[in-house]
Amino acid sequence: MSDLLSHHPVTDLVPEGHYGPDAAQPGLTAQVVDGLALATVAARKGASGALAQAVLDAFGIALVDAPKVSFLGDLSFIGTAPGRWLATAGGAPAAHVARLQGALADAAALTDQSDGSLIIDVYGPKARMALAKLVPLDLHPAVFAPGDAAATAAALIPLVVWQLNDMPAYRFAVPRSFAPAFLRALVSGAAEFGVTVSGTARG
Amino acid sequence: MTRFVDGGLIDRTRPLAFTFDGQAYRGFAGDTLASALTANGVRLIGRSFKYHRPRGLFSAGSDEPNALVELRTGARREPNTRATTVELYDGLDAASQNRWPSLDFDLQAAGGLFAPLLGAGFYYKTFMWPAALWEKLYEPVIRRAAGLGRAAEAPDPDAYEKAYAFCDVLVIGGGAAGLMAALTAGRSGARVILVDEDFRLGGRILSEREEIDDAPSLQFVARAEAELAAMPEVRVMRRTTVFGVYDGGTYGALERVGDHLPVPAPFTPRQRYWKIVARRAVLCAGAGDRPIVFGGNDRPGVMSAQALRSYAVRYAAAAGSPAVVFANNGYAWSAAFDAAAAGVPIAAIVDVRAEPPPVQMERANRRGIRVIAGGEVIATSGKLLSSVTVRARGRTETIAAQILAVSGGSSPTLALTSHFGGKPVYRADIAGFVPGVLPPGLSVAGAAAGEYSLARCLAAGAARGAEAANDLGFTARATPVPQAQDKPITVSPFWHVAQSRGLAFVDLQNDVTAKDIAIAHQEGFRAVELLKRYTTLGMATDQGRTSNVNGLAMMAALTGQDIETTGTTLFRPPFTPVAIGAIAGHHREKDFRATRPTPTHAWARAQGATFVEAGLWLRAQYFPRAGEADWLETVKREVTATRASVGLIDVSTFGKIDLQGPDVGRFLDRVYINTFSTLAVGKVRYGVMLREDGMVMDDGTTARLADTHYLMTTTTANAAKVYQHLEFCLQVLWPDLDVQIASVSEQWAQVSIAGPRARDVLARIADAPLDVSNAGLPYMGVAQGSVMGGIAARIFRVSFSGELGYEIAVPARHGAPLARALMEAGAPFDITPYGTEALGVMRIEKGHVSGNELNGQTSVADLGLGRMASTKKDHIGRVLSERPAFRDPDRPTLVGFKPVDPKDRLRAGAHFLRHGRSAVLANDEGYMTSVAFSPTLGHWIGLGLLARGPERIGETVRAYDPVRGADIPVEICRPGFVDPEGERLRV
Amino acid sequence: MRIPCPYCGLRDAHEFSYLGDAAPQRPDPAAPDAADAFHDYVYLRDNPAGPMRELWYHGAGCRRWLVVDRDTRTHAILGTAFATEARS
Ligand SMILES: [Zn+2]
Repeated sequence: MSDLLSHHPVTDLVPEGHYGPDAAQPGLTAQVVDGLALATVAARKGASGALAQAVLDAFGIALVDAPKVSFLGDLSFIGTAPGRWLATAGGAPAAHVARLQGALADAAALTDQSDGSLIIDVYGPKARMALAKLVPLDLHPAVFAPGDAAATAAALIPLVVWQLNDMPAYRFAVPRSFAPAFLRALVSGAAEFGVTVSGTARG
Repeated sequence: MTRFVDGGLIDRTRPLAFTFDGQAYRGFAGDTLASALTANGVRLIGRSFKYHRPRGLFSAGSDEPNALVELRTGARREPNTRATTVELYDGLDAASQNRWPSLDFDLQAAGGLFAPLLGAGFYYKTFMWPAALWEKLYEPVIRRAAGLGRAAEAPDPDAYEKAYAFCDVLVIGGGAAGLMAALTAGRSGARVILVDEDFRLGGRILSEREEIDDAPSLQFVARAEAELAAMPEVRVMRRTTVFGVYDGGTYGALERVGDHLPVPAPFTPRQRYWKIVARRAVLCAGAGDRPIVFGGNDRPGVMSAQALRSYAVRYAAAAGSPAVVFANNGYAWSAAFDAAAAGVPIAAIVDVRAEPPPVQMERANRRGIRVIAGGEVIATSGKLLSSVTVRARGRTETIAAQILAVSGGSSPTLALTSHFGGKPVYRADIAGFVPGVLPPGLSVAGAAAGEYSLARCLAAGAARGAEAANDLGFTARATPVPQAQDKPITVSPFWHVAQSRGLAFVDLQNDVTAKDIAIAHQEGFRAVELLKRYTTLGMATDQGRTSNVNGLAMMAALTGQDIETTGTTLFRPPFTPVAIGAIAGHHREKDFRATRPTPTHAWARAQGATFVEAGLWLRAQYFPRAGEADWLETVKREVTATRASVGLIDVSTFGKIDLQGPDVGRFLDRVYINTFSTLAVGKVRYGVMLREDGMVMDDGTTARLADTHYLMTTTTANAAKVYQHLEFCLQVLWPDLDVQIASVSEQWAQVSIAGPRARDVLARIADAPLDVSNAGLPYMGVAQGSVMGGIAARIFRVSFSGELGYEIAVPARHGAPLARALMEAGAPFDITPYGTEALGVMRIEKGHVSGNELNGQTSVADLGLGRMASTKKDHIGRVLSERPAFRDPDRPTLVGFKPVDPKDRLRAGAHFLRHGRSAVLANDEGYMTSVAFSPTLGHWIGLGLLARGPERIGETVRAYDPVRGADIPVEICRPGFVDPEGERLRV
Repeated sequence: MRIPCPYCGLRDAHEFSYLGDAAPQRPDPAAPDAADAFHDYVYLRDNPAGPMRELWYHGAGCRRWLVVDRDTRTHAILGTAFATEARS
């Protein structure tokens, strides 16, 4: 094992800082994103059409039933399974769930997941190369582009990933208890390119 | 004669110092360890596996059978590396292996001491002897005598990693064919990965003096490399070996990222294990020179003809002079001519063919090289080769030579093509095997397909590359192809000089001789698969790349069959050895698998907790305090404090599944043995679920939060399994049910408080209007509200410990604050954090079943829960749980145990025997599943499964534990040692 | 081996867990021969060399149960469908 993280508790998030060769520009950044509320939206039996209509009516979003991101403003629906999405938005969890509940309760089951996952953004010019060591997906821009999403497992950690832009920037929803292991795996592979970790200092 | 004054693809401005067996040498950048040793005149490099025979280099590539060496020292020591593939670096420290006391003088080689022991079938024959001798005598002797290098004894200090790559066309091998395949596919816009095991692209071009498009062929390589580098969708991976072909176009490859450096560059691994997913692949792995079997063919100095050429042309080196060439084919002649041109004196070309093609004869004449046609090498001499004895046309002659360059023809490097079971096919015209049925999506080009001339390699590479790209919808053109020589292959099958002197080796790495083949034939092990296992032919790390064909050709000759009928064995992954560290990658030591901390982990750590693994989770096991002698004392204190006042434990690891929809009640009725559709909103019920075979799968409590909204808890161990089971039921068994489930295990932190003062503590953190009074929140009730001034919470009045208890769930980020708030609120009551040990003690005192009892072999009746099952409905596992065997009263059934002598310690795993019965399986009546020292009762207690247990309360039996030497009388009692009526729960 | 999930696309087989033959249907528990029928349902399996319809769970992806047509001799995947649709 490299010495990089060997003295750091496996139960804690990787501390903030730069890992890898000194460089003016880090190859990538891994940033824990605060203040995002999450909820599972699962269509009721036979209510896919009604749900899509309700999402369109309430939020002006054309919901796609595929591993894609459907979004408007800061409200995004990330497809994770047939008839199932992870809905993310800024703000407080309760408000997020209430807003979805108000519009979609007849057509979908809603479950607050704001504390279930840590949101980690990975971005930078070397993000794709670093993620090739972690994510078993083809992230080539012709195959996985902004707006694409996937539920998969990286380093035996179940997660959802979607691409935000072609910087490239990827957003990961990692189950809370797996977040330390995810960051360890990410940083140990990404250090070669220089990786800056931020947002891990609190709690 | 060592290093030539000029020539070679070495950088003479960059000298490198290295040592071999402690002796200092110098080489140049561009050398391999093998070429640098050659340039230093080192000819003895190792000792053979079984017989400890002195050995030198046979090849110049990854098919090297002899020159296995140890690299580096200390923790980085790496055994069994092929000197021919080790890229030289400054400070390289290499050592020979399998010799004692020294490479030059090996004691075990003296007189071939063990040779009689180690012939064909020696494993089988040796095992026939008295078994008693095996451990004491044979194994130690054989282990010392036969072996490879030594593994490092310290942990490997370097990092390894895994990576994924995806492409349209994977090209394996960067020689003439591979370069053309990559260029052709790349030019069409396809995503191409070109992989080569060498540190330099070019394959055999690097070692041959050929022309392409009327210019030195190296210029072609340079142009191709530059063009490939400029293509954005092409990736070239040097120092990378594709070692396996797997289903679905998946290829395993090992990249040696830092093996050519003293230590890997900062933040980079030593090796990287690639999983490459390719829609098409083109194998351009070339071919290797095959030895000829004759007496003394393993002497240091005997090498392949292509190795002689490679050392001379690519590395400008030869380990001696002059060379004699012994061959049956024209390709070996061109090797001799190239070597001669590079500066190696060729004393003679001995060809088994009586009349070699006139063109070659003429070329030899022009170079003044003597040809002995119709000749055979029948002996060699010298510890290091000093002369060869040749017999031709009835005359015998001894020729002084330090190098004997041998070629029995070429063997296409086709191992990867048989990883899917494709049998190589014999082609008589080239006297070699070519790929048979190919893995899906893989094609073969160039020498690997038996297309040997440079022109054909270039053309075939272009053609296969274009076909692969066109198959995928790209538009690729296979022309124009650069021009090169297209000399036909001339080979006359020849395997074995039968009349020769001395041991004639077939498999150099595993020390299999011609005699061993004959023994196998004589003893009836004639089928190739039997031949292989009986003689170990081809079973070494090189999988017989240089030996298989000769071995089976010789067997064919012995049996009188042709080679086609004799057939060949298959190759399996890995093509070359892969270090275990590379396979593990990042997953080692602390990162062997993910560690999942609970939401209160950091808080518990600050409290001095000792942690225990529960699956991937780390849970607080107990909270030791200064002055406590051992964990038992700590646990006693935790239990006593909880039962006396109040204790606290994190139970967030339980699985939590949110169920919504109009059909949840019906669904749960089918999943659990008991009824949930009738559960009132605001209530919690304990449920047991079965597997369809009738055995208990899991248990836990499920709450009804609203009319169409339930929350299920599972055990920690079965969280994922139960979720998968529920999805199975909903998607496969009953897709008509309108139920949506979601795992909320990570969303909610859950802390349990238990003890007579639990309500007092809870009341202090509950926000109005949450009513936690006995009336407001009765036993088995659930309330939703907020705590700690506005944190949303669910409060379940349930208990595992048997005390008044609550489980308080808050969003996970508030888990640690909740624990702190409870500690503060509980301070007046001396609230005590406890761990899984104390929890375990209390549940055994209470008689609750847990993982030890829910072991997949118990029914609800076995666990005393049979009456829970509803008889009014079907549920999973009902039908088979009513099988007669499940109703057998002799089935071991859950009861409690206490030692007759209160001082005795109970042991889980002890078996129950009636008094007076002998300790044999027939008398076994069951076993102890869980034990604990009960601080409440002051003695050990246990739970166990005993035949007819419930009928035998008050009886005593033996608890027999031969493993730990215990045999004590125990009294059978009801499970439930503390508050059996459950009065404490309801106050 | 790679399995084309109808939702997630082509994924490595490591993301899936295998259950077995998709053919057995849970018998009617109220039928008079339920005991025998359940015995067969739980324990009796064919082991064909060739194409077979199997249940796989995409546990590390969309968590859908799939019916996968696989040739047991070659691991060739001939088709996949959601179990909810393939069996109804
Ligand atoms: Zn899927």
